Amino acid sequence: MLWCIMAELSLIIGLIMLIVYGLFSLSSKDVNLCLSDCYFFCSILPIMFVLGSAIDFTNFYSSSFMGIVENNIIDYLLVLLTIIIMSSFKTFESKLLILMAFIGQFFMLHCCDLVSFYICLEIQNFSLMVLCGLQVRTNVELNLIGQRPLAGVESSIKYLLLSAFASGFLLFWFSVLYLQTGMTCLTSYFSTPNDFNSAPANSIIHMFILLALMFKLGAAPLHIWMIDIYIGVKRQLVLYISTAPKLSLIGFWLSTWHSVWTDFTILIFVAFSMIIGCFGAYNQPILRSLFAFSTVNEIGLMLMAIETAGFHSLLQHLSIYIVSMILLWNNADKRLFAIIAISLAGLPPLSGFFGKAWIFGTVCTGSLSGPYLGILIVSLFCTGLSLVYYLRVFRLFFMNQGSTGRPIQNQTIATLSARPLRRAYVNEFNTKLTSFCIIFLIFAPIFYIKPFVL
Amino acid sequence: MALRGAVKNTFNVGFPRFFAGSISPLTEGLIPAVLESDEKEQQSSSLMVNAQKNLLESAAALGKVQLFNCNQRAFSTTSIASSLSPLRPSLKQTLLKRTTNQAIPLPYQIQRRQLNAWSPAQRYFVEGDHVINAEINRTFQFTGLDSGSFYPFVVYTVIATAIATVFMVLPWLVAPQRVDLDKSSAYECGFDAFGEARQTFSVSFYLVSIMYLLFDIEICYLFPYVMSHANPQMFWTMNLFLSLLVVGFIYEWGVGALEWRS
Repeated sequence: MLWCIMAELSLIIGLIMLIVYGLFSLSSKDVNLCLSDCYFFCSILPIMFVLGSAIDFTNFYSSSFMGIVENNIIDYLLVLLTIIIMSSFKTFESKLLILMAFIGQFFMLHCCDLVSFYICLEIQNFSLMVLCGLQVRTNVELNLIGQRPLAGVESSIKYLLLSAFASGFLLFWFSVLYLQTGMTCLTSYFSTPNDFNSAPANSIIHMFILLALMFKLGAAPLHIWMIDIYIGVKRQLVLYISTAPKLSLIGFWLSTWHSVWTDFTILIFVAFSMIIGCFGAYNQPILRSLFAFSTVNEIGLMLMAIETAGFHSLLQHLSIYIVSMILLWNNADKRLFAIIAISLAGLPPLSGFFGKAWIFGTVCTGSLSGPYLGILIVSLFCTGLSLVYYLRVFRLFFMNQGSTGRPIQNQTIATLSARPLRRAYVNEFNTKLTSFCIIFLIFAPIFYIKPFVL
Repeated sequence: MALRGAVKNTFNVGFPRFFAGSISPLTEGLIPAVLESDEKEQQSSSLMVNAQKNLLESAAALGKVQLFNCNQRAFSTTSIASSLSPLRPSLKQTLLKRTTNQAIPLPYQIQRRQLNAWSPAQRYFVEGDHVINAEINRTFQFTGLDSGSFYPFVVYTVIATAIATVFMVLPWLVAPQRVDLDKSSAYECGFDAFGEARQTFSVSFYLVSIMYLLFDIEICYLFPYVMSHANPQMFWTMNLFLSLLVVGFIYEWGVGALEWRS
């Protein structure tokens, strides 16, 4: 018992010590209590935690170490992502909150009970809510893009209320599920999947649970909060919100959820996400809301991959998406932006194309009947259409500034996008990060096509 | 014999008769059989008990159930007399009991659980085996503050009433009273009770009220913890939880969120 919880216990105790140490270093001017030490510990805590739990698993299941690495690859991706994102946050509280969200996300990847899943989701969501409140954009910034003052605060409060409502909804339908079946353990659902899914009441419960989960993911009919949040909060937080929670939720879906639910109501959400993510992005005056819609589109694609294409293509697309998001929100250059736009749009030379192509390819090779065929047609159509607005942004970026020579005073897309580029905080780490992302996006396709060429 | 009298008395206190109606007839029959270890009284117990005993014994003979003789283990006066101190069994004995505890058949467990509840509602709180063991092995009930009796609540009521009375009466007698307008007016969270409703006021009120709410909600966790007789794991989990809470409070204090800015 004690050894099983050792990693978690050490994490919690480490977190407590970190909080106290950070408090003292915040309040004192002493050189020995340096805040940068604290930041360092913050960034190595996830690594140590994951290593500790990996050793834990090795002891308990006595399999090979490499096997554990393969099984928990999403854990290590999550740690990497957390550390990268944490380096762009500058305050102690934000780092701490990201650590707490990391705990929730890590356990969400491994939980196999409805209650523990709910708790993990709440840990993650609480941290995100508080982060949204902390990292609101200033009124000056919002004014420049034509938003009301305090729009950032408004969006974070909307997010708080809606997310709390969705959590309550989720909890309610979990309790109804418990009422129906008398168990909360997902592995016990797994043992009787057929009886469980065939009952009509349970499929209704499933749909409502799915609704709440789709809210947390930001899939299409429930995506409105995401647009507001994208506009209202700072860039590094947008990066965080658009990557890490999705990674953890999809990881949970792959590891546990998908083996339990084999219902296809999710295809409704897929169709909604593809269509709204495609058509909603047109004529968006703000670059961020455009990318919010593009995220909705990508989520639709990933959900389709969950139900139809399979996990390998899903994980590949997800990792490409995450890398391009990191590049997008750490961006300091127009040329880099061109690369991301091409990659996100899914044009051939870059890896964004291969992510999408593999998903569509695996769907095509599968059984194309009824809803699958329909969803494939819809998603292909929408992906083709979404090329247009990426390329429109691309054109506005290069053409308008070339012709006038100065930023346009209107609320057009060129002004808005030019500002954050100039303001971008460039340091050594950022340079390394962006160059890595570029190299990944450009050279990863070689690895994807290698098995076919050689 | 005096000891056994105490045991009897215990269960009369701990298990009031007016709740007996809610208990299944099976266990109602079993109660005297557990309480009285005399053979005669056992013989005079109901047929149902005997039938059940026979069933269990045959099951034990078949090797399916390891029979746990509740009467002998818990209430035999000889074993208590033979031990060094009757009130507190030795470590060796406790360890032995712990190892044997796991083989208690289910009907006995249920019966013991129902024995330990002083009300049907409390039965849901009194569930852990450690509680049941403590209850069954108890020799002198009435001073026991752990569970099963109403006695702790009586003590609690008396102490709470006494403290409240002292705090009300003592200032009235001792402290000098200089009443002015502000003191005698109705107090409403620091606001003017009968002023304008749309007054602006400091956000710090919200902060303090949120803090109050937070620590108020923690009590929701503390009450079931106290009522459910924590085992060591639960004790340490609760300690961890409370330490997290305390650390959060220290952080809030240290950062200066509690300072009143107007």
